[in-house]
Amino acid sequence: MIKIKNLVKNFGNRNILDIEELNIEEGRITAIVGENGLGKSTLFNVIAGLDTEYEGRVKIGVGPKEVTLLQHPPLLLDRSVEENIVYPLRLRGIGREYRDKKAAELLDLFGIGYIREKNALSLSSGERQKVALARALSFSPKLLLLDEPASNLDTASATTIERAITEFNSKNSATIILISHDRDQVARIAHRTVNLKDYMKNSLNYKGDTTYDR
Amino acid sequence: MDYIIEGFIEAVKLLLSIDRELYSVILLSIIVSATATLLTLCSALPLGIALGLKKFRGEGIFARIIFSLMGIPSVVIGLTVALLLSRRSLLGFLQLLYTPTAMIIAQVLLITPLAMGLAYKLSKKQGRKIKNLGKTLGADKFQIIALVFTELKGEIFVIALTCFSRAITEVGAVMIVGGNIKGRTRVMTTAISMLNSMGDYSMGIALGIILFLVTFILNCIVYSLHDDK
Repeated sequence: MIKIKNLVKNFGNRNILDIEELNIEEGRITAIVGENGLGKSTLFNVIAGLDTEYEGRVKIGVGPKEVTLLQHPPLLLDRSVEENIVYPLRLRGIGREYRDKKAAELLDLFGIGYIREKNALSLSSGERQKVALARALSFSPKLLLLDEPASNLDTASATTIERAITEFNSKNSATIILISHDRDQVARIAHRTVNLKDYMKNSLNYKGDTTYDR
Repeated sequence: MDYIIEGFIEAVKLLLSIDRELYSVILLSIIVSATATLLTLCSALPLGIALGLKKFRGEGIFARIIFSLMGIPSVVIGLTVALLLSRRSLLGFLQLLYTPTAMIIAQVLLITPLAMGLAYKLSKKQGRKIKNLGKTLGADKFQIIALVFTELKGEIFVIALTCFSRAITEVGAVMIVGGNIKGRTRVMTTAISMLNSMGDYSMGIALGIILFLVTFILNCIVYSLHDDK
């Protein structure tokens, strides 16, 4: 699904990423772990196409509109919870009927039906995480990048999110990559764990080139 | 002190009597500044937003220049426009000097750096995050632009009010290019300046009350919008 080769990302004089080769398998949940400041979130930005200033080659096995990134902390829109969740569907021109059905399904899955009309900017951090993940799942992306999807959540909320992730993966065969500092969570849901430190090396001079399969 | 109190009393009487001259000055002030603000919002604001969304070469220099221009004295703007529109200059044939149009042009030039600078700063701080979010949710370029504007509409409104406030309270530019002509280019600020030098405090105080009320109301709106967030 994802093939990374000789990826070098610098910020000024500081080297952020220096990966010789890293492959992510399709249809599996891969956890990326490692100490703070290793470049995990930066790697996500590169894969998501948000950061194109790097050297090396990053090949993604799906189209750019089939990838989504759940950032930490999540950014919600100044509208209701329901409108936030169906926003990606609206972008894709999906009709009202399907949007309503999908919204109801996801509100139920995450147990957040009680806040459907509430403005998303007024939610608690746990509720925001759930809404953001529901929004990310709404259009069934083939590649899902989750940056700390359940951090700072209570056990029940974290369990809800973990269940949603594993169910989405098994039903849709979606490729999921998550960053997590919770080793137990990683052990529970990930098929594979990658410690980014094990893949960093000295840099080579390659031109940056993120390509998507069309 | 007596003359000040008398001035206040006369001012209230003038306001309540719907004095024709007084209200025509007020109306022209609002029309000139509102038009200037609208023109600026249609040009400088979207440009500022666009510049803030993406890194570009020379961004540092641009920011320094635009923020410096935000503090440019209004008389300098007035002088610049007057020189451009004077009979002997290139644009003299337009015969715009000492017209409300010249005043609008001057105010547009005055508030353009303000609108652009504030919009750029807003876009850089919040617009980029919204743009990235839009990208990760599958938005195309036009959808991202729409998203940025809708998500920042509150802040954009505050910028608009700030620009209008700056325009309607300035005196230097409109005095030079408008000439403070009775019934033609006299606005609140130029009238107050003139009336003060004439010693006619009642009308000046009346206009001052109105001007204060306008800025007070605008600031109340800005404050309540910030408070809501």
